[in-house]
Amino acid sequence: MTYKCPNCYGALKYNAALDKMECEYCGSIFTMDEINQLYAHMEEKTSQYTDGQVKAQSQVNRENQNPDLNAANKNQDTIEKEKLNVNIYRCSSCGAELAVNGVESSSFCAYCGQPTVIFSRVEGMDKPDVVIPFSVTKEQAIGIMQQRVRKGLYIPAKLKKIDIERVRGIYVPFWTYDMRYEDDLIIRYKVKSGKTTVTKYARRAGETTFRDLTYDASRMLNDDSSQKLEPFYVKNSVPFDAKYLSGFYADRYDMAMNVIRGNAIQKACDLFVGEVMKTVPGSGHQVVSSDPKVDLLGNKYLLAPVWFMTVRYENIPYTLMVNGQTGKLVGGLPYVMWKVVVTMIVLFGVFATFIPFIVSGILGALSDSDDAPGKLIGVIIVGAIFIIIAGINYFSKVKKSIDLTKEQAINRFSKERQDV
Amino acid sequence: MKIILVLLLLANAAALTCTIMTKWICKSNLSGTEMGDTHDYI
Repeated sequence: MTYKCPNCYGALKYNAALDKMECEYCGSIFTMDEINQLYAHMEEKTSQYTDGQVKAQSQVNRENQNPDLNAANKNQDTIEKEKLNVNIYRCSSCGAELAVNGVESSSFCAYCGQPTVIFSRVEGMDKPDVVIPFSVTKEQAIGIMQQRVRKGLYIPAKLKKIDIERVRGIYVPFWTYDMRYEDDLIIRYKVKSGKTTVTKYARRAGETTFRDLTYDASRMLNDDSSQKLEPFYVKNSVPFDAKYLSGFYADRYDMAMNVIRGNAIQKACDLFVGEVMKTVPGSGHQVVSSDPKVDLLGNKYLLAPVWFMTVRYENIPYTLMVNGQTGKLVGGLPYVMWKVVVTMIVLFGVFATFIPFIVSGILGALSDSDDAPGKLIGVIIVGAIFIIIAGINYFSKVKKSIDLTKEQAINRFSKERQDV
Repeated sequence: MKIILVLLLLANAAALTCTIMTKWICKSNLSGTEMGDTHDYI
């Protein structure tokens, strides 16, 4: 269904900056309440018709307005198209056919560009409980990305003169969980005692209540990508209203709450253990035993706003994401290898020049001790091990981020939708 | 002993260079973005 402007009958879109519905043709602006009242009034008028002919006409109109032709039009053509995992709906504005994928609940008409909400997918059991409306506009999201990319020292110059191939505002389905988490942990850790390293054990028991712990409910979107977009502040969400979807794409969940409950509990466990570790001294922390107890207190079906922006570099699409609530930018872009190599040579030159001076200074200070060189070698080896581990950690982060950003799945998630 | 020490120092310098470089790339190309903190969910 398309929300129509009462003044010019143009399409109304949700304007994130104004938190109102705006007509893109005549520029009229309406609050959500005004639109609700208007549509309630129209519903009331329609229900007053009693004449059989009018009823029949009304039914025809409703069928035209009702975009869900799946049930009504089970002809061969539709069935064939369903086999391709594409469902056909009818645009209530121009009557053209609108192809949407299996989980989309709002889209745009390819012919007239009207934003369309597929009501049969947001009503009843599939209706989201809450929605976080877009508060970052498309222009702001592009600005955030351009500003950040221009700052990137090792990002290719071609990417900096960025030509964005595609920008899509998509409401991504999430489940939120309220849960009480209790655990009793035994943690092994190491501390230095004089010349030796001692292994010790610490016990930590406690409980906490997680509120609105989010986990994405879309099979198509990689969990690592969606978790990097977090946090979404669910306390700033509003009760679901389909009008917020107008002008954006939206998906419904395709992973049920029970299916990903285990993942959400694991996430709660990771967060809990992470906090507990901060209270344990020393290094080399390891959980030896745990006794988790979880009480699920409630959950909500949430639609969260995300901007997906695709840029192309050396014919590979990179899809970056911006949290539509907070403006947080997520992704991983390629880097220029020659710049990296030059910086490395300079850095190595600096370190290779200064480190021997520092070491000889330390050796001079320790000249009284007979085993000073041995101790120093030990320190250098241990230091090198820590440095190499940190380097591998950073490198895996870089590789993973770039892989996720150019992954075909995230590109398809944004791409396989009706173009305006 | 001196040769070992010099080689070790060079190896250390190389390791330090690589680590700092990957950290800079991580910061430069957005890879360092992480999910929310525990306190965002409590």
